[in-house]
Amino acid sequence: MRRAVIIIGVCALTLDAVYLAEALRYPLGTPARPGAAFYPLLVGGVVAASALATIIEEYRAGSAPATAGPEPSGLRRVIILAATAASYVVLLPYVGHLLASIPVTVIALRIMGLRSWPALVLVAAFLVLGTYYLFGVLLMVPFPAGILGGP
Amino acid sequence: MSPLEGLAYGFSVALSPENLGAALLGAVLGTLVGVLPGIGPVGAMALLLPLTLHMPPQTALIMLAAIYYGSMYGGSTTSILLNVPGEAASVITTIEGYQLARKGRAGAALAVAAVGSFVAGTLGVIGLMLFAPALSRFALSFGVPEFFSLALLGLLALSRVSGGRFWPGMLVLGLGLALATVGLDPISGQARFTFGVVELQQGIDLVPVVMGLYGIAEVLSVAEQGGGMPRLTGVRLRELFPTLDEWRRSFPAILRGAFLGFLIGLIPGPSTVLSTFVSYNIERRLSRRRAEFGRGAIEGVAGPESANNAATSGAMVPMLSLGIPFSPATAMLLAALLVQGVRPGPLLVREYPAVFWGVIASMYIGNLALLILNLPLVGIWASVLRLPQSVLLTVVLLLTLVGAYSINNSLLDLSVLLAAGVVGYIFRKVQFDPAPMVLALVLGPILENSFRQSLFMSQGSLLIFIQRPISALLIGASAAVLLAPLAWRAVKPTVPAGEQAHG
Repeated sequence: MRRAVIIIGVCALTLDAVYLAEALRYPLGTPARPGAAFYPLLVGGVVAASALATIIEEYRAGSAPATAGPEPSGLRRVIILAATAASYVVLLPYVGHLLASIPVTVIALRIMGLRSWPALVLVAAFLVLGTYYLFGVLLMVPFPAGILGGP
Repeated sequence: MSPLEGLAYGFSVALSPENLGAALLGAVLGTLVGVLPGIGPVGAMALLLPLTLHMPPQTALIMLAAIYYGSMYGGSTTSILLNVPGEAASVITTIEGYQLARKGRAGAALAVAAVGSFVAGTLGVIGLMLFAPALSRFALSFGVPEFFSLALLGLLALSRVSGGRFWPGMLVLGLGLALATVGLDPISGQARFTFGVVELQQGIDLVPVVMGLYGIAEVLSVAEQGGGMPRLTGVRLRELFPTLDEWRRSFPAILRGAFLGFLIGLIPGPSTVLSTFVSYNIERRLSRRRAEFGRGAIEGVAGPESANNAATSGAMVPMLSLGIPFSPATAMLLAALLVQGVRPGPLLVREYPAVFWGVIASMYIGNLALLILNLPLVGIWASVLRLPQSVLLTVVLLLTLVGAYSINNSLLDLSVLLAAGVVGYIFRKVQFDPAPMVLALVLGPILENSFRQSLFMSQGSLLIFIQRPISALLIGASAAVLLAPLAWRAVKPTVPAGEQAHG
């Protein structure tokens, strides 16, 4: 995973460059009257220094044994699950909670190892309706109605 | 209000049906969270925080605090029976606890862990009751430079202690501080880093970040393994009661663990975990039967299990009396109060006595309930592991998604949740501890406000932080936290390669 740490360091440096560029658009002020950019520039400096030091440290540890990364099949499951969870966020305003939560529930149950389809349908229905009852009915969370006009 | 009057008032609050129910529910959920490997107390508190929005502040804090200290009880169960720690503060219990179970002394180990947790938990609450009001009175003399120095110490200590490696810890901390600057500038009111998104002007909410870093990341990690988690097989609890000799060996360890755990809880860092390692090492050094360590020494269960419980009480002292959390778990307790409009700090005891004394009194009740829940019912808790993990983790995923949305009814929070989940998963893979990011999100605004206000006060002179005695002391401690390990590395004797290989 050594390469992953270096990639994280590079990503952090890139994000930090955007952060610092944005911070420079705000008033800096003076040490006696620090403006909106004063503290973010210091924080940006900390991030840059830490990211650089992390990259150098990892690069120098060249001879140390690296830990193994995830198996391709495991990584595929992670990507599918993350994408399905993201689909809930995308679908929620259009179709409401009940419909948006069906794909994420079914796929999560399947990926986590529930193989029997009848059990899967029963459990998924219970979870989808249960969360709606808890949050939508008991706690009165106003879920978007969606194009179908449902909860 | 004297401590005894405060406690009497606290019991009148804690014994109301809704608060009693909240303490018992929190104790049950905490034990459950402790027993189940994976989602720890911080993730569970984040998961349940949306439910507390509909409760009075004292009820919310009573329930979340019970989850926090309740998880310390439950954590020992799987450590002893399965050699699998339910949460991080029970890792050390696996060493002696599982060996005792293999020798047929599982019941004794579980009983000692539960009684030790109860004794230390109760002593810890007494410490909290005496320390917190005194610290609140002392903190009334704090100005903004002191709060800056305190927040700085908390952040540096956590990033130094938690991850193991300094620079990755600082990187995670820096990213958290950067996230905390998103939103309106607290002094000038200028929108910063919002990139035109109006919702971002309120800043990034702590709860979806914590839910993502701990909840979603855990679900993704398990998904990577295909849902495989430990299964309970053939556990029999013989010898449910410890022998007289085991009690005799355990009680001094319990008392030492309670004292040590409470003190470690007061200082910044992952105190519940740290206290167990320190306690275990002390017990091993003090024991007359050192050879038994690693093969099932009861002191090695009694000390650490007591220490982590007392540490939860110690960790609540700075959160309640200064309004500054030193760990992600206490940051969640702070967040629960902030969303209710209650600002913990030196004035909490005076302005919100029901919250302060109510939660303290509820901890006495909660600890007693946990002893009853964990000792005779241990078999039931262990059997929780028979629940299909697929269902359990899907529940966590769904509750996380719906819970994150319900806090502000915001789709932005859901996006933050998912981003934090992916980041949390990657952090796990590369062994970066997310705790500094959580604490930076909470302490970042305090750090910035107090830093800039101090500069206004001093006309731009940084000397203000070392000209005031308390602030100077805290800055000195921060410098020590930063530099001591480097100094130690420079002066420590080098061991010849041959000796290292054989030693």
